[in-house]
Amino acid sequence: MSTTPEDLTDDDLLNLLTDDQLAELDNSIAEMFGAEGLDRAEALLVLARVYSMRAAERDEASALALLQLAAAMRRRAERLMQRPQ
Amino acid sequence: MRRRELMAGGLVAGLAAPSLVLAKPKHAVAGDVAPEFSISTVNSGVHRLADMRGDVVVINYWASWCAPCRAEMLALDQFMREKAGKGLRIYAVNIESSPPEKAMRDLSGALSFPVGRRLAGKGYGKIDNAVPTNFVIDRKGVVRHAKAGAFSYDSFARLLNPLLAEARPVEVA
Repeated sequence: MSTTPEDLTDDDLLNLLTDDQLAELDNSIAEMFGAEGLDRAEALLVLARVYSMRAAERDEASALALLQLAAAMRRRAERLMQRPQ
Repeated sequence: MRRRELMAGGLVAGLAAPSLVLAKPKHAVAGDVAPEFSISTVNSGVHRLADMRGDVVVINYWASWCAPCRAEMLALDQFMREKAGKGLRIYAVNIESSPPEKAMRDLSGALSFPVGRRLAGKGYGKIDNAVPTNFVIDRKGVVRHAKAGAFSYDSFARLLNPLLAEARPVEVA
């Protein structure tokens, strides 16, 4: 049975990226959603689910990219929640 | 000659038809008594308008590929959390053909309102084939908003706050 991107955990998905790519992805998330006031933990967690939903309707390469984005959004949300207010 | 007259008649009828179609929209409009509907949600079964009398009801048609829908969904979620217990119901109806059940349930679990797959009832649906489209029904069961286009938090609050402040209609036994 072959593994699809949907079978991978967040750690698996993010481990496929280099540290530089991860940092770039994190910056992109901050810029992309920050501009709309959505760079907040609770907003990122909801949006990550929407992107995961979107991934299921895409080809494998696009699905992988969307799931990596969603995983990076969840990781960023966790960090934002841990940040002192 | 007769054939020519018939053709001319057909042309006139053809030209007149679009205005007739425009005169009566297929969807409910503000001021209409809200048509009955039922919605199948992914986490909480079927909900019917008949069981929601006295509440303010929002039906939001959206798609995951629609960026304004995503931002609007967060605004609606924030407003819903702030108005918990005030008699507000929001239903997000996904218009995509095959979103996976698990992903839909995950999303529904993260939101303060149910996500649905299908809404059965005449007078609803995408307006001008656009998403997001929203219908807002007041406590008396009257459509107060039926438009394509995304709400911001502020525009949603401006419309909803007065409706939530209206008294629930008195039930007559």
